[in-house]
Amino acid sequence: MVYVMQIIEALKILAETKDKQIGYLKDLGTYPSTDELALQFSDTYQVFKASLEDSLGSSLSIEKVLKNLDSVNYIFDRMSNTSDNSFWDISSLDNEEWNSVRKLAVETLPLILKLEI
Amino acid sequence: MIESLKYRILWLKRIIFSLISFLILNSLIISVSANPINSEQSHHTGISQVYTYDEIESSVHMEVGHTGGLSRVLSGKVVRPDIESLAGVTSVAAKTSTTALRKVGSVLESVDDVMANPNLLKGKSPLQVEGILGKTPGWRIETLGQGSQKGNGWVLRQYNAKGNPTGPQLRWHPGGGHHGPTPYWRVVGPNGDLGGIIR
Repeated sequence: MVYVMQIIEALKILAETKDKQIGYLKDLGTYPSTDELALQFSDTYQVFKASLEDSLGSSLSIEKVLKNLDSVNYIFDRMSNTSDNSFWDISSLDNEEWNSVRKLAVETLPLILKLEI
Repeated sequence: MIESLKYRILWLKRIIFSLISFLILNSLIISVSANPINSEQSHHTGISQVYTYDEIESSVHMEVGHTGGLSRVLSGKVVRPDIESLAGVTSVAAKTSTTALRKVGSVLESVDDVMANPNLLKGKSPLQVEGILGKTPGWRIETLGQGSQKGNGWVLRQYNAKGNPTGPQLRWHPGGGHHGPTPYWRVVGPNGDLGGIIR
């Protein structure tokens, strides 16, 4: 399932430490903006969510995965809706919001891997 | 004596008459023998014209056979061969331009071209790309959904019949900030990123 692999890749980057995320953004070519971390997640999250709802029905593990992904999406939405663009600079990668995202990503990855998709 | 002289004069007249007659006859013969040349030329011209016409017609039929003989059959009109020949060439040119095969990704004309060669977006503005791809069926124009430029930028995203995003998209980020990145494109295909960051 392509959409599962893609959400896993997006979460792997979100689960990384600040230094590794900075290295990733430098390699990618969008340093010092962290926008791509959120945009990559957002792109795959929408497809993943739609695919799960279409084909897998509902189960406790799927609901937990979706709840965590919704939480990550909510944090990014909240950061996006502020006028403070410092949220989207690499200097913010260790603030409360990014740490929450990191924690959720770490928690969600094994849950997705356990899904029988 | 007088009788003898008259007799000689008579003979002289006959000789002169014969001579004149010969000359006249000879001139007629020369004329006739010259006229056959003219006649032959004239005839040859006539024949030549026919042959020439046949050659043209033959040539035209070949042209028609290659190009647009069907137009004559379909229209049922008698068309001057040279005109039909030209029309046939035109139809070949038109046919060539519409059915010509080109490598996907060689020219920016469709989303498939971008997926095959994301670098086609290099140096392009969103407005330029929207002008070419903006009306692609199944694809919607949006703005960036998250990040420092939420509501800005330009996104062309594919949706399925249920209205759900399928993954493939073309995304333009305007960059931002004094120290931020310069504007860039990102292309996502069915299997993920294609071509990385494109500027």
